[in-house]
Amino acid sequence: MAEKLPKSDDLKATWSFVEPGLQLILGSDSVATVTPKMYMNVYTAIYNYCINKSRTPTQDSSYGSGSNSTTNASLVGGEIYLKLQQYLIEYIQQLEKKPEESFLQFYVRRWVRFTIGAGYLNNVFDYMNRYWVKKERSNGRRDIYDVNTLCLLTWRDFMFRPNLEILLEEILTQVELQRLHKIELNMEISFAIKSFVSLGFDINDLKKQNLSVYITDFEKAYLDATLKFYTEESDEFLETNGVVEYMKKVDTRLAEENSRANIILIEHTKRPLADVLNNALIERHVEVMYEEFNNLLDQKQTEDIYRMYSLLQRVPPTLEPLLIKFEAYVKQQGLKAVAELKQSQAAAESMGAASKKYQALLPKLYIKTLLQVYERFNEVVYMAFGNNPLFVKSLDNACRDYINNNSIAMPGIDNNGPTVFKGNSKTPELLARYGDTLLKKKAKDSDATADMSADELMNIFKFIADKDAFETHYRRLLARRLINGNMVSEEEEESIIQKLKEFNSLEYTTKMSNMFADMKASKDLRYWFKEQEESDNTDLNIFVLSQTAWPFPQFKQPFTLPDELLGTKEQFEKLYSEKHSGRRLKWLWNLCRGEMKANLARPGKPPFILTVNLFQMSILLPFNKRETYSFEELHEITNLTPEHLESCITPLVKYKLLIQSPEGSENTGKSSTKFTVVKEYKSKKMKVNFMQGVKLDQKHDHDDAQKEIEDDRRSFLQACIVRIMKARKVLKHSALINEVVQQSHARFQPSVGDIKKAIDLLIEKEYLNRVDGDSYEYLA
Amino acid sequence: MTLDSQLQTLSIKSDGAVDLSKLDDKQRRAYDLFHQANEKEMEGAMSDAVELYRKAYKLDEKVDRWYRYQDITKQASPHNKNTIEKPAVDLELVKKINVQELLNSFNEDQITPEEENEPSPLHLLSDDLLIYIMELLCDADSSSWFYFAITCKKLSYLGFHNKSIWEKLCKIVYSRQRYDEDTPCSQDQICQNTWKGDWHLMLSQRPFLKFNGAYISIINYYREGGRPDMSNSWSNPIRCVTYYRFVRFYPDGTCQRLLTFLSPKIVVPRLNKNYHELGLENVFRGTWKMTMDGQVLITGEGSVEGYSFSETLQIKNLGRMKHHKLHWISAYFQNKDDGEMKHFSLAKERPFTFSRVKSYSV
Amino acid sequence: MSKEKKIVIVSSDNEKFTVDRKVAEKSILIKNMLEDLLSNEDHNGDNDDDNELLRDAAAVDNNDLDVIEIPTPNVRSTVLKLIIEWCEHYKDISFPDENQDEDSKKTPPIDEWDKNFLNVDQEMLYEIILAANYLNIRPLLYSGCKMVAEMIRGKSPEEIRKTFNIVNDFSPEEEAAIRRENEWAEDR
Repeated sequence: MAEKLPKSDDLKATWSFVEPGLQLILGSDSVATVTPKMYMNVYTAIYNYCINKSRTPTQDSSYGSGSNSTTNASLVGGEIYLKLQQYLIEYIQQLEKKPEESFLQFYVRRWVRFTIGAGYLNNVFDYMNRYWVKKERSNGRRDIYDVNTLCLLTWRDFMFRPNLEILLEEILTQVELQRLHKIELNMEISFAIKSFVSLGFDINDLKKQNLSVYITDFEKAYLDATLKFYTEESDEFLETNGVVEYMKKVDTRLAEENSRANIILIEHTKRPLADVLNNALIERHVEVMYEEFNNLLDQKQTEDIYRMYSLLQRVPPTLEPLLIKFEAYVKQQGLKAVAELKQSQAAAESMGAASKKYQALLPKLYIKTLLQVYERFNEVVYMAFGNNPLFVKSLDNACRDYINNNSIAMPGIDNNGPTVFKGNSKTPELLARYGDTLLKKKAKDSDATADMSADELMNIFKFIADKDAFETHYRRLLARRLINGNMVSEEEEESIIQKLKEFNSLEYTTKMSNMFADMKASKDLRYWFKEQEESDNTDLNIFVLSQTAWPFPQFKQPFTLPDELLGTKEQFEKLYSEKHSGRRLKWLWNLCRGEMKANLARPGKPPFILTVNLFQMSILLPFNKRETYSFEELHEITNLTPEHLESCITPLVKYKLLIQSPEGSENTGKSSTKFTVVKEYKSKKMKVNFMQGVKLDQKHDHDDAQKEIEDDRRSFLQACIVRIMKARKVLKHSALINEVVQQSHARFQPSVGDIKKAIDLLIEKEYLNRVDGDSYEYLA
Repeated sequence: MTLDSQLQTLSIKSDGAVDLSKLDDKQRRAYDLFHQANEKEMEGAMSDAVELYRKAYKLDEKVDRWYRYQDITKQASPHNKNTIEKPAVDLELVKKINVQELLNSFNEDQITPEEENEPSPLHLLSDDLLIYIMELLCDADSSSWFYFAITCKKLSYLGFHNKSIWEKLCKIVYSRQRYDEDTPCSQDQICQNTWKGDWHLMLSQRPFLKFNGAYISIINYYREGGRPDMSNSWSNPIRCVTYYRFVRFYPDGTCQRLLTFLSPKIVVPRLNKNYHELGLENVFRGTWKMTMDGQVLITGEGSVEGYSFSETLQIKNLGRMKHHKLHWISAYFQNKDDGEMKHFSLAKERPFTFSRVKSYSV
Repeated sequence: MSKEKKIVIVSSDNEKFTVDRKVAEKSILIKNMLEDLLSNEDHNGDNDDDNELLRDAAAVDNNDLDVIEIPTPNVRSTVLKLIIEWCEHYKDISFPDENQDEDSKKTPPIDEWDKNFLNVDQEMLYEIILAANYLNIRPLLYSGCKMVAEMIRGKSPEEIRKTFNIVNDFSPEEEAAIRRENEWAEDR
């Protein structure tokens, strides 16, 4: 190598001075190393040539001529640039593959070395880059590049392009061998693939990464090969191994492809690669997976269900059918469970088990059955579907279906059909009775409520369509618990009401809250009354209840209060109206009961305590005066209807307090029949309850509740319509229906017919007017 | 504000210093007449003045404009002396020269030293470095670049024929314009897309506002003056009234506007952010923005409170001077409360012409 | 990592200056070169698969040398001495990357220290500028050229000609034509 720097105006001399250095820098096989001296000499020679300005243009360069902006300076850089370009072409073209290596190995070996050399070269030609290249580019020349880019472009055009086919083929072969686990992942492919990235350029901004080469020359081929490989593999594997094994296989394959992508591919490919894999491995086989789904649910294979879910989730639209299947399955399981319960109950009844006992057990068994299905699938949603909101919704839909409409709730209706609620599902009532069982004082020995809880109640409550029906039934039962004083605990009662309030609305529990308030107020009232009253021969326990909140109908039957009680009643009424003028008291005699001391025991024994209702009391009190009365006489004294009188006397006779003559229940209601009080009452218990024997008119009670619900709905709908119309003034029929349905949703599902009826009624009452055929107008 | 009321309190003064060497005979006579008329007006001899004005306008109808324009540029440009000292130039010959070809022919030229034994020290520096120095000059102020590049063939070749200088100028100029909508494109992309990478072409064709001077519009009109009490003349005297509109733009998107009878000589040095201390009144502040094709929209306060005043102007060339003129497009004012809008008539308005002011450094 | 190498910069007239690497690397030329030539060593640290390829690939090996001599055939010792003085002064300051060519690059005034440092006769100033350009020391090149620009600023063409010993080689018509064509660009 020449030690002395060449003359700065001599291109030939300059070039032959730098050429040996370039050879080393780009990586000739020579063992000589690049020294700082050589590096500086090459740089200096190029620098000197570039800044020299007093020279005659050499003849062998024609670069860049013809352009109007061609100047001396651009010629100078152009000459060097052209020389370098020619040199690079020749250098790349003379590179040769060793006989023992594959083309891929050769390409990668040379590429890695070449890119390092290109980096050096870029620095050695820095001066040309800094001024000449920069200026040419800012003058709009897009075919001039910095030296590093020039190196890469030359590589692209003279090494990469001519050999693209074989390069691609060898890369794809390697990848396939890896997929078949015949060879390990290796870095060679990675280098080769990254070279596709490095060889793309944005002509306008060289610093910007441009993936055009990678995408058109590599990515597409790679994706095609991937699709082909997995289409074939998945068809074959599924054929021989079945769905469950197949899904495991897909899991592994996806993980493999992902880690391969991380190593050899770039971010850009991840999305399209995922699409290809999803298509080949999942979408194409989605039907087979759906078919397996019910089996997996039957066998409770949560893990496999989870696997299916996570595969399908990669292609969100494929989840849709799974959601539908899941919803149908849950509904079907719910209906099945209820049908089984119904059957076993029918079987038990036919076996002769006391039907009454079963009636009492039904609410609990029924609610438990509903809950079991819900809980089972709630767990599936949690474990296998990761609480995906879509599946939560499906579960809720299914639950709402089978909970409100099943063979017990709506017997005689095809429960598999689309659900149309008419507000007469039995579920709200049964749930209310479940609550009653839970909250009522029970027989001492019973642990029947040990496995029941308020949470269970609330879980089912969520799904109740007719929330208003539940409220009515629950309130009626609550009223009885309150009046009869047989609640387990007041806290428990209040906590449930609190929860109902949270789940629904403040309004929903207003009446129940008022009931509690009445109870408290009555207690205070009693203390107050006791203080006012001078004489105290009876122990009076009075409740003053507001008529609107409590579900008790007025007592309208004829009845004459015994003289013994009349004084107290009148005194209370007097004092109360003094305290609260304007309030009217109505007595619910049918709910009154009392205890009587009966001196019928053997001498020396304490008297019996008889628990009776007020009517029984009025029947028994006259026996203080005489021993025997006829039915007719008792009827005159009490003024009770014969039927009512009969039902009250029956237990007294049955438990042998009164002796009936002639005997026989068919004679009890005859006016001439005589009743005589016993001289000495025989009972092991000191306290005897005669109320239980009184036949309660339960059917009547149920009808009352149903009537109340319907009345409430009618007035709710009317109020709702008036409220809406008041705000909107004029509204189309369909819009009005929609709004009403929406506003009623939290209470019940009104039918369009009900709403129409309400509208007609309001038109009649001149709240509304029909306009334009299908619209309504509000009349102030 | 009525123009008449202000007129009573103002008088227009002029030193009348004009470069007379460039005028032809007719123009010279017009100039003289106009000057005399001006003098008479100062003395209060209105009838004489009007007569002289009429004569002057008959000879050259634009006399008032170049009369006053000369007046401004005279004091605005300190280097006028240089041009005056120049030997006579054959203008016809000048017009025939193709400047691009001429510059291109300088590519072999070197800096010739004045004292022949001693080469210019600049000779040491490579072309790349001379261009770099010119770029730095552009950053400081464009005049330095221009004066440096006009010194000799070699430097004019590097300074005017080299695209990277024009690129530099473009980047300085356009980065300071305020556009009504953000362009996501970089200057390079705009230049590439619309002007095929030719920065020189872009600078000469793509409008921009200039900040190192003021835009001035001169308006003349005649009106009948009142007859003096004791006069027994048959006709009323006619006055030629001149007033000016000034706009100064700032790169921060603000601007100052002024309508006055005061001459540029008084206004221009005072039209800055301290105008108030310097004794200028009725300077209204506003904001400006422009479209890519050079429509400038000014909005701001005006002579009536509670109203916002808007003017739309179009940037135009003034002969060879690129982007040197602002044409009126519309003007209106709007009630800030109820949005009621009213347009002004532009019948009397004249375009604005740009005048460089040395103290307006940016 | 490499142990601290000694860097010796050699002027065209063969005077040697021993400097710290970080002083020498104020010159981007030298910085790039050192990174290129010593890159082998940096790669020895990690033993990845690609290292094997790199070891084969880079035929360059300067690891045995403790002293690296860098000739600068274009710089005289008097100039080089000043350049190194400048580099020493700024050795602990890192300059922003020059590659960020913004539309409106800020042009700060010349650093006071530089102003003093460059207060030399015109010829020496130009030699420093040339050397800074050659060695690619951007901030010094900037200060130097800015000094020249300051000499030009505010002068009329005639005064500029006087300062730099330039003859006006235009014909009057040529000058007028070029003026006519370009003077509008003065305003902005």
